[in-house]
Amino acid sequence: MSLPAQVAPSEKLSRFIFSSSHFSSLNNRVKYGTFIPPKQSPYELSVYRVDSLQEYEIWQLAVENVETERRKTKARADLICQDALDLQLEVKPEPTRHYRHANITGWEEKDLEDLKFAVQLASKAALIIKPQLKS
Amino acid sequence: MSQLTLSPPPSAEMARPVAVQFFSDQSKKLESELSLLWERLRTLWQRNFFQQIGEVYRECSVEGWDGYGAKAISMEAVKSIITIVMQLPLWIQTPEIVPTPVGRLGLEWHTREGSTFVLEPSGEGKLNYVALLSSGKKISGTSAAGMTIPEIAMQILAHHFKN
Repeated sequence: MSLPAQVAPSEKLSRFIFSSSHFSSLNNRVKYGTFIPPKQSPYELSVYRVDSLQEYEIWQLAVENVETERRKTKARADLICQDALDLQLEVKPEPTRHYRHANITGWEEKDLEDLKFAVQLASKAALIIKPQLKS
Repeated sequence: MSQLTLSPPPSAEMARPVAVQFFSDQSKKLESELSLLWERLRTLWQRNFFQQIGEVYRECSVEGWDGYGAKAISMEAVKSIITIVMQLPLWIQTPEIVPTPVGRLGLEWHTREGSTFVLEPSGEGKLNYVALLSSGKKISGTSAAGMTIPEIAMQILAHHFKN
């Protein structure tokens, strides 16, 4: 399976969240820490291209391809690619991990600049909390 | 900045051992330092917030806590954020604590109208701030003097994030 080699501006992207400290269920908001890139090479932020997927398929993608025994998905932050492009960031497919995987790149690698990007991305993002699985 | 001192409410007094206990895996010296910082927090929200910092620290003081290889939140980060909390005026909305993958802690405010404000220590011992106001205005910068909250940041808090 494959997706177009370029991520379309209208494509929906999900960043999976594994820490409850990165969102507020009370305020239904994603916190900016979700979008701070790790300070290590390569300087990028992992996302998944989830256009055309049903809700349950997005969570299934996380469970089958992203989660490990130690990291369990708690929520996700949904954006459209244009939100990143508006900040002069880029979204590059990186399908070696999974054909839907991509990275947000183009960070300034400066504390204040990247903080501004992260705060703006968080303000655009929709928080989707993972539904409780029925036992 | 005014140095208004309040007697701690009884419930805040009772909260102390619990709050400091979050950090008790650290050395006695550090525990003592944190106790002193706690004593200087003036309001109930600041003291409750100290407890929240403890909870975040407990979750995020191990490498990879965010599932993406984040650096562990350090005690230095905890002390930096408490230093910032101590400067906040009494009338301020309670912020949210935000751990970041680079091992730092930041503070975030948000209003129903859609304004957001973030204060975060930088790697260079200064303080970064970013405001996205509901008017569409964006303001950002770095403190000139170490971890002192800049005047403009105080003004933004006063205009948009009063309790």
